[in-house]
Amino acid sequence: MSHGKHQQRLNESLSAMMDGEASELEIQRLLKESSAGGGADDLGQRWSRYQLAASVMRGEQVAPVDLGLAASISVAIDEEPAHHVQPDVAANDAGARSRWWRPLSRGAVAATVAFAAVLGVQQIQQPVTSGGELVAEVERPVQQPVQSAPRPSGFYVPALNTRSVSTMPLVTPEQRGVAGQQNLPAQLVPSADLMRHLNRVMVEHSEQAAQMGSQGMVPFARATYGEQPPE
Amino acid sequence: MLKRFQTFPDKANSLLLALLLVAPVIQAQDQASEQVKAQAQAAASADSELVRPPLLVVAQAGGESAPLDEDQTPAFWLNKMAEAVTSLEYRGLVTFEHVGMLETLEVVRGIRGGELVERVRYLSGTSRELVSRGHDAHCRREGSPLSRAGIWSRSGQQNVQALYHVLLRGDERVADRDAVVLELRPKDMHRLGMMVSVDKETGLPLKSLLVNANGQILERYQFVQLDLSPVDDSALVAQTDSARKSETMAACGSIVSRWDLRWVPPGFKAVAAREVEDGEMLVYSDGLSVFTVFIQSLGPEMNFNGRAVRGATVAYMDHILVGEQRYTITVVGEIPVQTAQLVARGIAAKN
Repeated sequence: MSHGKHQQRLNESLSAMMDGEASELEIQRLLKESSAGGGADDLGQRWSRYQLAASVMRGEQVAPVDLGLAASISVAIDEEPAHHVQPDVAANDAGARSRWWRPLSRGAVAATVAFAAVLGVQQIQQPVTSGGELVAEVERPVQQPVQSAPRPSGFYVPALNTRSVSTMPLVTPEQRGVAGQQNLPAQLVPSADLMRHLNRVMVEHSEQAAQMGSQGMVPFARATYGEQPPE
Repeated sequence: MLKRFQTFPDKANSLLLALLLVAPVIQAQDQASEQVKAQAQAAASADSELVRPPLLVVAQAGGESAPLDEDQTPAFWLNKMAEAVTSLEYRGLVTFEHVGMLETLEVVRGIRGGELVERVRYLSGTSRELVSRGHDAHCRREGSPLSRAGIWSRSGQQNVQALYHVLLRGDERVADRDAVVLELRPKDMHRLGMMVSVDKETGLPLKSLLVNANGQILERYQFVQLDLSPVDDSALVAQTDSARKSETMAACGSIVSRWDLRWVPPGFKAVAAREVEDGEMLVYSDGLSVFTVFIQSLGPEMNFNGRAVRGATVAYMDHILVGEQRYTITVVGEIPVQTAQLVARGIAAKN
């Protein structure tokens, strides 16, 4: 029974992700599931189908169209239970609201870390209870979006933000904490050695990526970005 | 605007499902009825000489799902982009936006003696410049590991199409030029999506966005001005004293690594491996995204476990003990941070 419930949560997370509204927690859960094997194929295929369906819905052309796909989609739909018929309306509202606010608060986090790095503490292990339910993890800074709002339907929304931020990477340590232990986020300035190391590996990586050529000169822009003027 | 989109997730979702339900059924019905018609006609005309019409009907029915013109297929633009990436000379002004910050750059790219010379100079913020010379020419030769994975090769493009949905998203005008917008949407959660506006004339990406699974744009690189005339030698020379020069001729080496990556995201292949200070770097690519794994013995001051994020680039640090020896692991790339973490956790010494 808990398996079905778990599966339902995964499906909901996947739907949220499709709508660009998944929380970090949900993404973590999906990633964990997709890399855990077992139901991974199923989840991956569903993700792929949703993506494709969203495109078809927008009337876009999809690359190699698999003629067997239409059939497989209709079969899959038959098998899937209807989504988002959530009896708990209040919880749903709360969820929507928190999703609504998160991008803003993330932006706010970015704004406060101009020169110091923020250290959020998290648990690396996602403890799984006997019922297969994941224990909540702590939210933490992630790759900062260029725009703080989710992209609504496309790329024509250039919410420019010219706030000045340091070229330093945002650093967050992991703590392999005890399961269930609540760690509070802490702030700390990483050592100069660490920053040098991070900067160097980012530069080396970017130059290697530039050689791949698939991204044109973009990696060079990345490689040069964090460079410090000679002292 | 934001509010409106955020308040109807359920509606959008159910609409999606409804469409899914309806679309295949309609298509199936159409095809079925066409077939019935065709069979009926074939039966009716079996005695006469009219055998062709039914065939025609079938051909038309099948033709609906096939691409109409070559330049309307995503594959055509993928291919065109790949060609431009290898052969084009240009100079231009670019905006580069990430970490909530907008920078402007001057980029120049020329081909001298069969080698690429590329120069990037930041026009805003502190003065930063990079001149890269001699990259790729020999890495791209057939037989090199790199040539198998890059987007410019046929297999590389197939790999990209196997891992990403490639979608045409209409036309756009960038840097006073007409472009076709191509979206590369990952089929799994282990890579970032890309939105590329490809110049219709040359195939050069005029604008490229990196997009995460939540649809947030992590990085935007966009031409403001583009000059496609042949590049002067003087334009390829560093303009500032502090310019860094990158001439790593041996960069696409392929040493035999002593490390084993027990997990990499599907579709990622090792494309280069070389020695760096105190260790090794291993480069993996799926034809579009790239990540690099550094495994180094750096001493106790690098005793750090966690992530660092700058724009779309993440670095995930961990360590591994082999006997008494401690090695620092750093996974760097434009990939989701969770994916970098999974890669780092799967690293082991080869026996």
